[in-house]
Amino acid sequence: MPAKTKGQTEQPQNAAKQKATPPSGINIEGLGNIVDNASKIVLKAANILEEEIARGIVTAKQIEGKMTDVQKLHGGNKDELFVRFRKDAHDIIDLLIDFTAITLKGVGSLSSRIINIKQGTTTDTTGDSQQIPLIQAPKDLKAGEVLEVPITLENDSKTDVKSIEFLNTALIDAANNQIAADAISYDPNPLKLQPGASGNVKIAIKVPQNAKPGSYTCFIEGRNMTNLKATLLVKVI
Amino acid sequence: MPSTEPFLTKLGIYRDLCLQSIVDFIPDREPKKYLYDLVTVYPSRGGKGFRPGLCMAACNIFGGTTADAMNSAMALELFHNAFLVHDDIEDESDDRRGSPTMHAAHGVGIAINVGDAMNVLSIKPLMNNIFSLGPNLTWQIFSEIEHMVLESVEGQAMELGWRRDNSCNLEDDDYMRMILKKTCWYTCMHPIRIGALIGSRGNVNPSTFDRFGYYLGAAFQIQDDLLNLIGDEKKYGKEICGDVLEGKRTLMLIHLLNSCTSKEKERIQRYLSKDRKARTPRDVEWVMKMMRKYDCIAYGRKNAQNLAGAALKEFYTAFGHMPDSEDKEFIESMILYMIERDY
Repeated sequence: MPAKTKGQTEQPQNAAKQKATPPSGINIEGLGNIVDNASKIVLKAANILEEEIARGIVTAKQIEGKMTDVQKLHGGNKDELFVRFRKDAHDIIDLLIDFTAITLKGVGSLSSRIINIKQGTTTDTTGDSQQIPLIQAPKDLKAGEVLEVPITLENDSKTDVKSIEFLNTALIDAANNQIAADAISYDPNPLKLQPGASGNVKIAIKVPQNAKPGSYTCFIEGRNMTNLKATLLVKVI
Repeated sequence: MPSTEPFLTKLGIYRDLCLQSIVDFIPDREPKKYLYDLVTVYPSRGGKGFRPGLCMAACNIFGGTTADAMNSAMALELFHNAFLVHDDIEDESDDRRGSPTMHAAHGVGIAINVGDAMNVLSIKPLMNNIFSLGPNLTWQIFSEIEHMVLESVEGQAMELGWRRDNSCNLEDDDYMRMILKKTCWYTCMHPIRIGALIGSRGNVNPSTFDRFGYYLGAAFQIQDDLLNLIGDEKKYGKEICGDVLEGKRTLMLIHLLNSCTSKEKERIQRYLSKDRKARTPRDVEWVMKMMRKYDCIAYGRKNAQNLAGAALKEFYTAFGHMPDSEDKEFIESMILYMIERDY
């Protein structure tokens, strides 16, 4: 996946930013003329960061269903929180689950730029537009197997035509096993969406013959789009 | 780019404020000799105090005060020093900041317990946040810390595993992922995220700082590894070439393994398969000779500089819109310091 462009981070007024940003290629004492020289290591770092964050989101989502009383705590008072800290070991489990919920919220807020994405006929059920949607392969796959996952995208804009060119990172599992990014393809790619219209794209996953079993995730985004990001989860058995 | 002198002054002020708060906070009760007196040993040895400094400065930039961030800064510093005590045991290191490591001076058992105590002691300041920051922000900071600690132990596990299994087919990507997890989240990314969350009362998106923190932390770690190879032992405070002796998989060692001939690689692998005690100064000298032959130092330096350059660019993205202030300049100056420092 290419490095995220500047415009993708949540940022303040352009005018202030332009004033603060040094001119391209400026020679800054001590750093030399390297400010604008993209290097391999920086691009690698950017990709690794995206992958790690995407993986964190998936992990958090997998236990999201176990949340029971997060809302209660969010709206709670100090006394209640202290009681929670001081109770016996049973509550430690609740605390850990609650931490994860908030981690999910924090990481999810990486993106306030989701356009509606549907998997098959099912709408993203999180109901929270701050979270990056999870696209889960509907069945477990074996090495060598191919699966197509249909996705529906809706263009929320009333004025702009969106042309979405899909990109993704390599798939990676918890043991750092990897499946190359080109194991995933899209049809059509790019997908053109008229204002207010929806369209379908098929995500084809081709699991290589030598793939090891594991729960693999990757990060999908639209090229040059700040408002389209999703995480794909594929289980190889 | 501002000079590093005002930066060091401000870093020292933040470090001392945090240290004093930690000293005041340590329980004044027994067992002192075997526990509480030892808890302040590492923090008092003149550590740099990057983590509290970044946390307090970010808090100030986003509208808070140094006092608002103090509890979290103390927790960060205590966690950091707990990691150091345990890392020194895991790495079998002899020196830390110019003096014997905790386990070398007091035995492994005492040292493990002191590290455990520092981990536990860091929880209370985080709980105390509730009085000044309220339940929601307190909870959010707990979640930041939980993520930070988990990432750090996962990164440490990767590095320890590479050494145990004598992994010699590593790539730069592996190193960059390992230091993201082991170093960058807890040295730069979370301290800034936490400080900005506190200063803004939860109104900034903390992920805005991730790239800046990662690049800054990576430049810091590569520079630290470079200093271990070519630094001045008196200034650096650790044994020079200690990383080579420990078989630590640094960017420079990985570059060497990927650049040398197959015969040379076999010899390096044999060297790395030995117990630390069986590795001789002559072995270390030969590995250093190979690193010079394949320009590994220059490779590490170039990458640290590139990452610092990228950090500078990200700094303008993450902080450029905020009003100019001493704290903003402080964080900007840290970038240059990370690659210029000699200790």
